[in-house]
Amino acid sequence: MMHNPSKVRQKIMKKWIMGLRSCSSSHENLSLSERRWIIKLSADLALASVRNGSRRWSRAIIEEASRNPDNKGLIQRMLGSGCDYRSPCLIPREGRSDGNGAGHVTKSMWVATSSKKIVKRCRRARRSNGRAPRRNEAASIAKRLVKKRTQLLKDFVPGGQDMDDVSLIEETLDYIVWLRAQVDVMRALAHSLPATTSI
Amino acid sequence: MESDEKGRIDQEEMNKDAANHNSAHAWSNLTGTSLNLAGPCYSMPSSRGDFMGDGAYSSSALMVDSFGRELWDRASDPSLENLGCCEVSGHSHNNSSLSETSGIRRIGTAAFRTNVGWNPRSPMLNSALYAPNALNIPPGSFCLPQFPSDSGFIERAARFSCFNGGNFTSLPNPSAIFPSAGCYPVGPGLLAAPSEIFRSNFMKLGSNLNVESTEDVDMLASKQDTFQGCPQKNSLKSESETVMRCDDGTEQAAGLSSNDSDGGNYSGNHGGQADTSIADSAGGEDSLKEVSIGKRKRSSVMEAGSNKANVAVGIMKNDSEYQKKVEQSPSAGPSKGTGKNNKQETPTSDPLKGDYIHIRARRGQATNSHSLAERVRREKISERMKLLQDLVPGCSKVTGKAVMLDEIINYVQSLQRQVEFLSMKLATVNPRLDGNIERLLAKEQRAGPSTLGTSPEIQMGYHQMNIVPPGLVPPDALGRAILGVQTAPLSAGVREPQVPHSWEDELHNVVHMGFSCNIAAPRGQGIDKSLPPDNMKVEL
Repeated sequence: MMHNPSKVRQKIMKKWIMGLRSCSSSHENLSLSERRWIIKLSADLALASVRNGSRRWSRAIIEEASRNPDNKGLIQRMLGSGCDYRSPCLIPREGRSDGNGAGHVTKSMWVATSSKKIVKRCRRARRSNGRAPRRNEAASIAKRLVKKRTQLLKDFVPGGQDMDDVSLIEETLDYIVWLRAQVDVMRALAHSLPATTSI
Repeated sequence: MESDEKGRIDQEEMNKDAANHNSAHAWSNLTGTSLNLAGPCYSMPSSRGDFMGDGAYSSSALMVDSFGRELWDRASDPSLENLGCCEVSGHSHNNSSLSETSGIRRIGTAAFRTNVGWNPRSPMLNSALYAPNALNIPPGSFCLPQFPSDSGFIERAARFSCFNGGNFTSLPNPSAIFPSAGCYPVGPGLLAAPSEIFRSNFMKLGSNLNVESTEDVDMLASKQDTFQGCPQKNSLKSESETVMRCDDGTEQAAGLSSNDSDGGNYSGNHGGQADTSIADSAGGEDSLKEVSIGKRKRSSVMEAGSNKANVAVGIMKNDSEYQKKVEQSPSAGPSKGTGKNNKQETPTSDPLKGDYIHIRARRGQATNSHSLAERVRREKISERMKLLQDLVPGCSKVTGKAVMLDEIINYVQSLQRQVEFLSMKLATVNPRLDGNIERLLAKEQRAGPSTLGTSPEIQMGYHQMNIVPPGLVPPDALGRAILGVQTAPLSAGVREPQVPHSWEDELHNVVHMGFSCNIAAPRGQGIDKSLPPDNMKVEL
């Protein structure tokens, strides 16, 4: 949570630049796309690490990044100083991970999802017992639209795949705030550096 | 951890406010900003009818909700001049992004707290807000004491005070309700009156408010926080309690369905009882239940709107509502009521114990636990969506879940695109980063918040990004102009003059005027022009 936005942004900036610096030795040899990738990745990791993993999206970012073996070094350098993403301090509210190394789906989340499925099934069964479908046609269309968009949103928010609607919206809320911070940080850096382009 | 954070944030917020403004204004800032949040809700009093696709009840819910909140905080601020000051101070806040994000953070905690339970706010906040006013409301006054901004409570309080200001003298005991309630079903004339009061106040207050996302966020956060922080009962509730004849052991039927024809008194009693017990168990329960209760009442308001005979009674008070329901021939038999009772009885008899969700089925709605759970879920979602609405720029006029989700998706997409664009831009910078980075870090630390973007910039960036043609260094004049305009406000805010980008500067003045209208373009235009998601991802 953002105690003090400017401080938070400074933290993000510092971590990001630290990560960049750790790769800067090889910067000369990288292609543009590789550089871009490093920059983006380090920015994302900085964001996630400052967020400290108390939100699913931050953990998801770290998990995704760590799936790629090329990134391991960067991740270690950036996150090694702070909390390891697996450590308990990163999973405060939702309980510990279920033994799976990434803590991908916590128990409460799983319970929520499965109970939601049960409810859905019961509702479907009940509904098929002769509810008049016609009067809900507009509603069903609306529901379809909403479902489609919820699925889209799940694709955009990191770590949103396994979440129920309520938590998805909470995650989105949080993610938007921190994403804004990241954009601010990056923009500040981009505008303050001299615009000597080398392509 | 989060409670500490919240406490700390409150302190920080206080300190910051005190540092920046008068201490007197600090509080009014909080409450004033809280007022502003209701702004966007006001601007569309009746246009959110299909929100959630669940019918009109949520629109009135939102309307009354925000209205109630507005009344609330307005009343909590005894000198209305502070309202103007608040807005000014809110706007002239040095660090609007700071307030925004801190507010957002508080929203985050607040929103997430609703499920976890009460988290007492810092005592400073509570006492400062609640100390100055007397706890007892004179029945006829419009000025409400400080109160947890519970939507259900607020709504009840609003109705309470509305009617006191309107037609009632006082409502000290339920027996007084009945005769007065008996006078009510007179038809549209009386129907018009209270709703007119409602609406006129609503619009009047709405026009005074300023809609600003940061303040909205702040307000919402502060409201949520204060709401959570004050679980104790206060005089208003006790007044409504007296109306509802607190009688612990008698909560039986009609809690939900209130369709029993056993007698209006009884059901009113129970309804009120459930309400108070619900309100009592602040420690274990969350705002959702209140919201659900409140929404149920609002829904009854809306339902009453469609049925003239009910309206006057329906708008009024809790037990008069129940009365109305009782007087209408009940659709459901007592069995449904008992089925519901069993679920409710245990919690109400021991209100402090469990995490039971007290939900009343609306009239004509199934009391099945599944549908109730579904309704709780829907209400949770709608609550979150409201918060999101304040976060995503340009969403204040949007109604409906699907459209809101669309906007949210667009916004997240655009933010992510910005990140990619910026990383691309940085990648082209001279790779000699070390010296630059040191210099930059030093600059950043000195420049502090002014260097970093503010929300108007973000919004502008959002608009702009949608029409920036793909490419890292847009060669054409349009691209340069856009970027020039984009950076202009940022550089304006920078305390230390940064090295200007030559290719941005040269067109800056020329296109600034030209693009000012573009910037001011309504949100919808930005959306319409948004490129497909892949457009911004330039693969080199």
